[in-house]
Amino acid sequence: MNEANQSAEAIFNAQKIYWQKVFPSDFRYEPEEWSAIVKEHLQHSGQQYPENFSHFMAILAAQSDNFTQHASSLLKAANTDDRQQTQHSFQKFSSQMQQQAEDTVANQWQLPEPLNTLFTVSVLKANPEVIQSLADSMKILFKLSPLGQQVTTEQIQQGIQYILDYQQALQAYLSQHSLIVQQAAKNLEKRLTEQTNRVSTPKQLHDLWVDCYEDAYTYRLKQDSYQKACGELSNTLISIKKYINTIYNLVFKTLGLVNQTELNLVLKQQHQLRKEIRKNQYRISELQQEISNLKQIAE
Amino acid sequence: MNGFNIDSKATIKEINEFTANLKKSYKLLTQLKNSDIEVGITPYEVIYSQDKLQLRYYAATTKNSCKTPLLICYALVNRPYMIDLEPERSVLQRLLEQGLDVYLIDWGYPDITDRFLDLDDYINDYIDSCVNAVCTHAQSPQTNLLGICQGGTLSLCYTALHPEKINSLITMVTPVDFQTEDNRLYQMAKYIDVDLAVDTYGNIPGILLNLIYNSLLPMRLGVQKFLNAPVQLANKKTAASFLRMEKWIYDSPDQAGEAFRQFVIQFFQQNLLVKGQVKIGNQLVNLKNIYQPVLNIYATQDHLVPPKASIALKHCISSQFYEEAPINSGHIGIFVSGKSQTQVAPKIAEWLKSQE
Repeated sequence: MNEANQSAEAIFNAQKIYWQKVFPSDFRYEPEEWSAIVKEHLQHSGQQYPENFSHFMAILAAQSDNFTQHASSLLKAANTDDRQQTQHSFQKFSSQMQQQAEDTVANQWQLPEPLNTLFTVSVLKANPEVIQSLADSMKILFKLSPLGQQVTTEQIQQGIQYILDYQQALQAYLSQHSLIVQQAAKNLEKRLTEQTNRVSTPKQLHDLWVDCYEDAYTYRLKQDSYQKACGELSNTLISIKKYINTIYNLVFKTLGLVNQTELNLVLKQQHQLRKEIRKNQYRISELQQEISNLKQIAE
Repeated sequence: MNGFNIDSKATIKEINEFTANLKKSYKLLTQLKNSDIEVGITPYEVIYSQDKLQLRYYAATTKNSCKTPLLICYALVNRPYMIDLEPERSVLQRLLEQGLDVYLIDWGYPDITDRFLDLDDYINDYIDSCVNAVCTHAQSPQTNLLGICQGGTLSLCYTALHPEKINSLITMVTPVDFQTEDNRLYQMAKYIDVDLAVDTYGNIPGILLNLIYNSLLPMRLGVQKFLNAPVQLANKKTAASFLRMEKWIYDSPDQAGEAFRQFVIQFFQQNLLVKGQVKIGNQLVNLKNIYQPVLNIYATQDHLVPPKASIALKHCISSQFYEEAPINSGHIGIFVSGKSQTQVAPKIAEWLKSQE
């Protein structure tokens, strides 16, 4: 048995013991224990699995961790036969799934590099003070760079404005997205209250949450307000990327290298020439055909 | 909440099964090699190449049943081995078994030198060159053309611009009306400044497109997919199938900037194809120029190209022989589901033979 298998074996033995302790009556063990086991395993998994599988397994393990935590919580509540605790577990599940959906969105709409690496503050927690701090960091970034002299104050201010625009667009988008997760939570509760669906296991609850979320998302996606928020956020992010490109172009120019703008010009000219050649080739082919036809007539 | 009643025994059973499958998945993934998840393994011969493009020839594996060759034009997004994912799930092999000689365009992976390739280059140069190469190789005056997804849209444009070269046309999960009320891609792309995106990125990174595709069904393609994964990863055969699909999903070529700009603006944002106003090079695309027999195959559960987006074709063309073939599946399932293996290729072969 190789190292990876031994590790997997250990993790599942630990889990087996964990569940034996959780069920049926001993609730001293918190789900965080299982979470810790998975996290510990993940720290080593990158070395054990082929590169393209390890990323996949990392996501899978994280999802499994969430699922197991929810299952543990729901199971405990079920065994106490306490309706209040069951309700509490359900609410906890619902809010955690909402949080997971919002985290996914936050990851999806991160600032482009290198700004994302520079500004380690979560955009979700950003406020005017944090924004100011980001702007200060940006000033420092450019002043410390070897071409600090090339970047004007106006350009720095422009960059800050792009980040502020992005922040505003992100807030607008998150407001729209919160409508989706709130509606998903309402849908979930409604379906269970009206018994449109019946749920007796954690997996069924997850599946129902997914259905409810997708219904809410489908509705919201059709609204012009959501489409605008989505478009605006994309556009502000792209603007920041374009701004970064502009700064890079300055770097290249300062170092006497060909920059992207100049390269594009050459590529565009090459493309136009290529089209001309193609047209000429077609024309030559047509003329050859005409000559051939004329020869046949003459003969 | 009367519908919410956790059953302890069922929950324990579910968790035990889940973790047992997860355990098997972990073990199996350490044993699988890249060679176990090879894709597109049907033998072929490259009969023409130009820039990044390759034109592949796949010979029929049974007695040839159709004189006119079949050229398949795949989308620019994603890779064409979707139709040949594995032997058991290969529409391509099913077509060969039906006695059809098949030619397939592999667009390759555009790089920075392809930044300014536009739709005129793709349609009037690349596809046209492929059609000529197919006709020469098959010694046929015309070819049948099968376009898949975006490749179907390009095939419609090509047929409208060069009708004399196409015997009959098949469109599969092909968008024609890009602004139906259920078109999620349009809803997401409506306010995106595509000029800004192309001017900024040059070629549009494939990874961005993957983000957009995953955003079409964020929870189903996120939470649910991963919670269901251990079942599929628990044995070698299903794990290999699952991973082949994952490989295909994330194997997204970058998109040539100018072609992407023209496609999103003209087709999605302005919906010009159904209005007869799409401009390729200096020519307007009038779908009414299509008099050829047309078979329109669409997936009834398609979340990417809704059925309404495809069946809009009926009223846009002049063909007297127009047929629709709905397949009860999703956008990808139409190529890989077991059911589609027995429906799609036989339908195509039968229809093509009837057009001879």
